[in-house]
Amino acid sequence: MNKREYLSQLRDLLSCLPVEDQMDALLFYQTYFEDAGAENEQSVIEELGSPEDVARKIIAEQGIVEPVESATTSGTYTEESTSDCGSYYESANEQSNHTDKTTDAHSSGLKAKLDNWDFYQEHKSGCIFLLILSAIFTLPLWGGIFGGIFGLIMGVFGILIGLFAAVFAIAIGCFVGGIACIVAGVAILVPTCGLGLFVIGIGLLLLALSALAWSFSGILCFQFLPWLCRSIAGLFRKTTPTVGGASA
Amino acid sequence: MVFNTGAALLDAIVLASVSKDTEGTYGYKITQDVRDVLEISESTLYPVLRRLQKDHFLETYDQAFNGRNRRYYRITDDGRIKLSEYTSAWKDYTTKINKLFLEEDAIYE
Repeated sequence: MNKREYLSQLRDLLSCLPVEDQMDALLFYQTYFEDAGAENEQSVIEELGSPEDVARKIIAEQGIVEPVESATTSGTYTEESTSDCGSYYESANEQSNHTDKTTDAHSSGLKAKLDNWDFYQEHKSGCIFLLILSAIFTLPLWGGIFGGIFGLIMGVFGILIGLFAAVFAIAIGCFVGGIACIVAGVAILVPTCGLGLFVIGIGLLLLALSALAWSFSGILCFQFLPWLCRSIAGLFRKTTPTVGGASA
Repeated sequence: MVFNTGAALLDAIVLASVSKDTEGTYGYKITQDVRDVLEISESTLYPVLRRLQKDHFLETYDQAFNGRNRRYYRITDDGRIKLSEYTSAWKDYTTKINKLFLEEDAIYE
């Protein structure tokens, strides 16, 4: 018999106990084998005795510790071996009706955990290997997803930069153009009055346009940008759990 | 093994063994240490540890070791009190028996 078979037999023999106690005992002996070292597996099995002996001792101690539970389930309370495991060695599994009475939902969840633990113990290295393999194979998938998200974010940044640049360009361009037109208009004002006034007018228009562009860029810089930063920060705060908030 | 070890004495020995480590020890080591003192089966220890834990004389904590979880047992304050009760009872017990067997005065001061 090897360690796995030993623990599996032990588990079967303890199945009359509450699931929590089963797990505790199995974990103890699982770790016991590991601490003894793989090379000592057989001598540990010899010295522990048969799984029946080990189980009997655990069940006997269980009876001493929890007399109340055994009184309600089996109806009679005896000193030696009690609780639902009392008749385990004698008759069939009639006791299965009585087990897990008070904590059905809780223990069925634990039972599932026990089964998974069993399976996991049997296939520990296989599970880890499969995990690594699946990560490698889906690399194109989540690599692509992350690349796409990154590109999207960069695109949004590009748009914003373009917007800012355009507004500034308009502001500066109109300003310079406006000044130039006024100067030119004044210059030709003397010889050709009408044309001069016209050019001056265009210059003033350009200046007005640049003023508009400046004020718009001011809004962008001092209102839109801070608002953007705050809402992004707010987004991050909402996605992380808040202490003392609704998630508690 | 000439003399039977009753449950109380076994409890006392386990408590004393665990109390030697202030940080506590783990199941396998406790078993080896106790078996240095008593000839008992390795399967005897777990039920004792479990009972002492449920009586709040021992407490447990888990600690990772070499990538797996190990459960450590540590003596509680209640456990220390119980242990001192045991040791003084033992002193009493053995003094009287020693007197009878060896017909000399108590070897403890």
